[in-house]
Amino acid sequence: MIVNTSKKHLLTLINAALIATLVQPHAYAAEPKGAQPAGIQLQVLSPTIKVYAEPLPDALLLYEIPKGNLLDVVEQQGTWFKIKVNTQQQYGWVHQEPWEFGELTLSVLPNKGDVSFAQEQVGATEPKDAPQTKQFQPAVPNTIVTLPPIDPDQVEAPSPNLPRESVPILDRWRIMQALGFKFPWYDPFNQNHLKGDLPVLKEWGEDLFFNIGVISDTVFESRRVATPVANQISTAPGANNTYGGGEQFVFNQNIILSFDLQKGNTTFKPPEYEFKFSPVINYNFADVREAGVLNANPRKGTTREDGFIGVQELFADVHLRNVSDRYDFDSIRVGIQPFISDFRGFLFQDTPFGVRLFGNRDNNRYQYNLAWFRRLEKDTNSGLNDVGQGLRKDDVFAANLYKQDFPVRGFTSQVSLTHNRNDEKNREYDTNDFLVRPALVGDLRPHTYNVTYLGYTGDGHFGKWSLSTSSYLAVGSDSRSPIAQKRQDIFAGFHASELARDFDWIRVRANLLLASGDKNPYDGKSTGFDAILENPQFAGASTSYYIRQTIPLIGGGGIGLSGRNGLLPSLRSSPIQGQSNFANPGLFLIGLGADLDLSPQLRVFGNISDLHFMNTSSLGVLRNEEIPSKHLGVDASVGFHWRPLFNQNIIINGSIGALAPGDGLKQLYGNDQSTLYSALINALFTY
Amino acid sequence: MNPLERLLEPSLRTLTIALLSVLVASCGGGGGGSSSSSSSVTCSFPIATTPQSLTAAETERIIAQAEQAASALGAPATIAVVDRVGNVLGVYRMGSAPTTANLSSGRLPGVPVQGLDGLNNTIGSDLAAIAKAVTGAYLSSSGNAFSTRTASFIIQEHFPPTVNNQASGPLFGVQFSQLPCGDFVTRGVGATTGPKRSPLGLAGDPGGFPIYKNGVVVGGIGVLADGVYGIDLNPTSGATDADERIAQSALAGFQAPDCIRANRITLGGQIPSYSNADGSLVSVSASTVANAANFIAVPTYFTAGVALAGKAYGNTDSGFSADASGTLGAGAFVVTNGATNRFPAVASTNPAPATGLSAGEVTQIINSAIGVANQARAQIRRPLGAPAQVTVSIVDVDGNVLGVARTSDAPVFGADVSLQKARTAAFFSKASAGAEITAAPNVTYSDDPLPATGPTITLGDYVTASSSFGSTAFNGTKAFSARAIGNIARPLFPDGINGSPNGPLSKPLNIWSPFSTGLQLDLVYNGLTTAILTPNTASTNCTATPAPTLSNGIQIFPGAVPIYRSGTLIGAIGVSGDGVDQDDMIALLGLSRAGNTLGTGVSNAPAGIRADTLSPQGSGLRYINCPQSPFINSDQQNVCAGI
Repeated sequence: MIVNTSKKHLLTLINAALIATLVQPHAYAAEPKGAQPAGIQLQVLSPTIKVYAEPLPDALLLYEIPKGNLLDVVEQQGTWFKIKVNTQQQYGWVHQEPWEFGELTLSVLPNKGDVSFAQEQVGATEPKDAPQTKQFQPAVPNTIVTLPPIDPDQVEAPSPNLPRESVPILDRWRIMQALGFKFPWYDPFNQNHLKGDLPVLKEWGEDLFFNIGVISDTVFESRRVATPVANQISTAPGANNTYGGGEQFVFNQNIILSFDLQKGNTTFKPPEYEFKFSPVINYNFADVREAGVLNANPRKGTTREDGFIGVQELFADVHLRNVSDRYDFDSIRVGIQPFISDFRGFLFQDTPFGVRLFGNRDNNRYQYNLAWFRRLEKDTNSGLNDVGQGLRKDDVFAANLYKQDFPVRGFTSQVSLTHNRNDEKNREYDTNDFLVRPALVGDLRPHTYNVTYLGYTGDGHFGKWSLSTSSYLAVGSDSRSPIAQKRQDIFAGFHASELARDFDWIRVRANLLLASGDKNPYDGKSTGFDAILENPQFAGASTSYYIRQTIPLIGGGGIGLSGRNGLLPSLRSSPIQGQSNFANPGLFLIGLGADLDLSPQLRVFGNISDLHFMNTSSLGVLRNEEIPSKHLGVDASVGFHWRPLFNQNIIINGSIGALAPGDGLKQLYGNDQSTLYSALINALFTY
Repeated sequence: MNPLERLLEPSLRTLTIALLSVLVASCGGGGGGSSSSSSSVTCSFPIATTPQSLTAAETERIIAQAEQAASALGAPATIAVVDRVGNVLGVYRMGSAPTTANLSSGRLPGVPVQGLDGLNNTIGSDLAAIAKAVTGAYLSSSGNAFSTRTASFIIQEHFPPTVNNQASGPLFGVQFSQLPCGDFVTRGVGATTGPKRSPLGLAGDPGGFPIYKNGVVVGGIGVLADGVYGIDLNPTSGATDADERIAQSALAGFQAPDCIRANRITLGGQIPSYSNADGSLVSVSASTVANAANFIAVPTYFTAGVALAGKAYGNTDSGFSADASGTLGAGAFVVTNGATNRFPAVASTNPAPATGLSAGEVTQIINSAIGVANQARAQIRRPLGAPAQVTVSIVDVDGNVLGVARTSDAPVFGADVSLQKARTAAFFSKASAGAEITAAPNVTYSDDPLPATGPTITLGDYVTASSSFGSTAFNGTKAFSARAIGNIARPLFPDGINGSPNGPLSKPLNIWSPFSTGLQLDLVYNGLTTAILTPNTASTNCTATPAPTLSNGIQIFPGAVPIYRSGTLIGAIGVSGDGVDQDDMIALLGLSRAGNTLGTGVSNAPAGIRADTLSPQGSGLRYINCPQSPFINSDQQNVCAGI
């Protein structure tokens, strides 16, 4: 979680290169052929070295000697060395050749006496399980030495006798520069002050690192959504009906900047503290057919340009303590920070303000979060945090515990307890002057709610089957349902599972989702499931028409059937600004999907889902209409994910989704809506 | 693979789905078996199939219960009970009850008196109570129970009131209907043929409710104890009102079924208020009034001394009964004079038949419109899936009534309102409209105490304003629907958008109130105040335009379109009683279907001259707005496209 694996890997490479540089001039010594070196020793650096009867590659193989052994040289012929195999004056030949990371299979030590230096350095602190330097003891002739099995999970412990470990290095971050390597200041693929590779601000501390990130995220989107003609005015004569033109075009550009200052070792040891600031600069443009869609004032027209600068991260993270030799830790993070409640973002995924205590135990097998968040008001059109408007009266208290390899190896389980306390009694209009709190439904009296979510989620694999699953039970109360006009107890459930299996380069997925629906909006119990702020990565996610698009419940108030990037038809004014609503029709989804990795650069995927409401009574009440069918429709989408450079620096995504309305949806939007489609191109450029 | 994995793998899907389906289903599956109709999405209760009415004893019992509640609350009241067709069955003023009403919108402090606000403390509390009782009775049916608080919710500049940038209430202007100066409503004391006039039009002051027996509206009760005849400016506050507590307490035994009350009906997802007194009712048991001498005389409305029995809506002597001719559509009712249809289909006077409508054409238009109504999904009725219930009126260019018919349970208010709407559409579409308005005499608002006066209004200014606004001088070049007139008769244009200017037919927002709407009130102001202050005045024309052009006043919410033949204006059809989109559709689609059936050139206005080709201030007017999901048992939408 904390260990930056790519950074660790990078440093390993640097160390290896460094060692090769240091060792090579000595080791590949061009000794005259047939010389008789006196007192020269060799150390085995490769896992084993073969001992031959003669200095020829196809000579009789006598022994294999494991790594770390010191060998006394009695004769040298170029890169062939004759060594003493045992005290019985048996001899054999070993060959020095290149090994991985620029090392050689054998290292040449000047003479026996120098070895003691390395041994002294290790001294009394020498780990018990470290391989001991030893004179090679004769094995049974003509047999192969068997090494213990290598556990790939274990990072191999350093060998204490290696002389390279004993070389004191004062500034290990600038070895490459010291050796004459020059990298452009902006080059993120090599050591760089801007990417946390090199320490900065040395007058403040010797291990401060600064990391800057820049991401450009561009979306072009064309779609058709059932759209009402403005109540007050029309954009053209002859608009006799409630439904108007539904074609819409959206362009959205985000520049995501991040500035991160950390103190501490940037490898496996967690940083001691971290400060991060991530502003996002947004520009957005929308073009629709009907007035009153983009702004409450229909005179504002059918196009809208807007921009915003939001603060998505602004936090300080303090590493409180380490609790084990393996750097299990406790840490606290204060400020605007990202949080995701589960593996797929079904319950709460946001960048709220908050205080989060987190850490891990038992070699990272357990991870925990204890957090209090207060949600930030959002800018409507960009969806970004509007720090200027301050905090909402909406708190999320979250406690969760992850356990790896439970119940089986390869599967991580999480239990969570999340409480959402909403106390928003004042009216809130969004950037476009639409009322978002309370929602424009029912009697519009202010109301508050308290909901506790009990959750179990899991992600991983059972043998060859991958499974990601989430289940929540929501229990609480709403002080005054705007429909029932009285207090309602909340009791709702949610489950989603994705079962997948890989067949070579094809991954096939099966999706199931059940969100309970409200049976009767007046009965004192709200049994429709709603999340706090969902952003589900499920069933096609943003490529799916149903998930991506806000489908307005025309004639049922200023609310959406479902929100943007949302699965739950929770009838909210806005997923990001509205209050949760538990009097909703719920959802049953069953679907199939496939990912095809056509090449390392190109993934193509598709999803098809059949969607049903669980209970349409809340919809019927809002529309004053009988809705005889629960069938919402069939949602199908295809898309691609293209990484032209094989990395994450340039990513182009594209997708097309469509929703074929079922009888239930037709009852709401009619039988002659043109194809409800959504097509988008998304380009991501990352520095 | 360990044993657990082996166990899970083959049955993973089944297990997960089965277990979690149970979990989720159990969450969503609760809540059944509720016996109370108030907590049920479905709405069923016994509805009598025979006409229902209040007996004299029941009238007295309701008044006695009101008196008991008022006494308990220490709020002496004036109490009125009417029957469904507006006959005043009893007016009872408790000893120390206020005798006048402080008529105040509460909106206009500190500005010169505007509209009816100037009648402050001039109007008797008896008239106020009667108007509230009439409102409860007239707005309700076996599918919807609306109170005066409901009326208040749907007549303000925003719907819901106080919510920025929301368009005005769907029945914006309905308070100026059933006017005492009108020609459609009937007059006189005693239980006779309705629909009777309301002394103050419809009321938005909480404290007026419908009275039900066996699921059927049999009347209304109105109470005035607090001395104020106003409106509920902020219905989301939940503030209680003494009038309302008394009136609703008095209905013990006569309450509207829970599931049809306004707070169980959604209008575009919003729920209007029915009562804020549900939790503060007074227990009552009285069946006779304390002092029969408190039954006071109200000239032309009620004779002192004794409570009366009401008329049974549906019986011919009530003024409404089933259509005997069988030509007006399935289940149609007509308005009677006590014996026969008051408005049988007749030929047009102006223009004369050939150009104007024949009686047969009128019959077909009504028949088609009633047919659309029977097909239409009601917006204001329960249970879900019920058909719309409306009144349809046809007029010629001069506002002569060519025919009126309604569905059986249409709210009574729609009878007068449908005629107002029809006359409005015909009037504003004709060439002389602007001139006729301009020719009307100035209006000088009365001020308290009389005979003080407030500002003087020149009606021609409205025409001038409309002309400069870009919505014509009403010279016959454009066909105006009631919706289009409504668009420009709002205190904000576009409707409800804060910070916008007023429409040219409205007062600016700072001097606007439901008691002073603009041209709508000013056209009838002189006739209305005369009828209020001198109720036995004989005139049946509220306006100065020649009778019957706009005799019962104009109406400024949707539900009427003008009728054309070969491009010539020949009349209008007005519809009222359900949601305004439904009213619009029944008018437009009814006329269109009739035109197709007749094949005589009768049609809607040519598209090129409709008011939606006007774009005042760059904003296109709406001619019509047919509802979402217009028909029952159908997933058709956009049924008015191309008409």
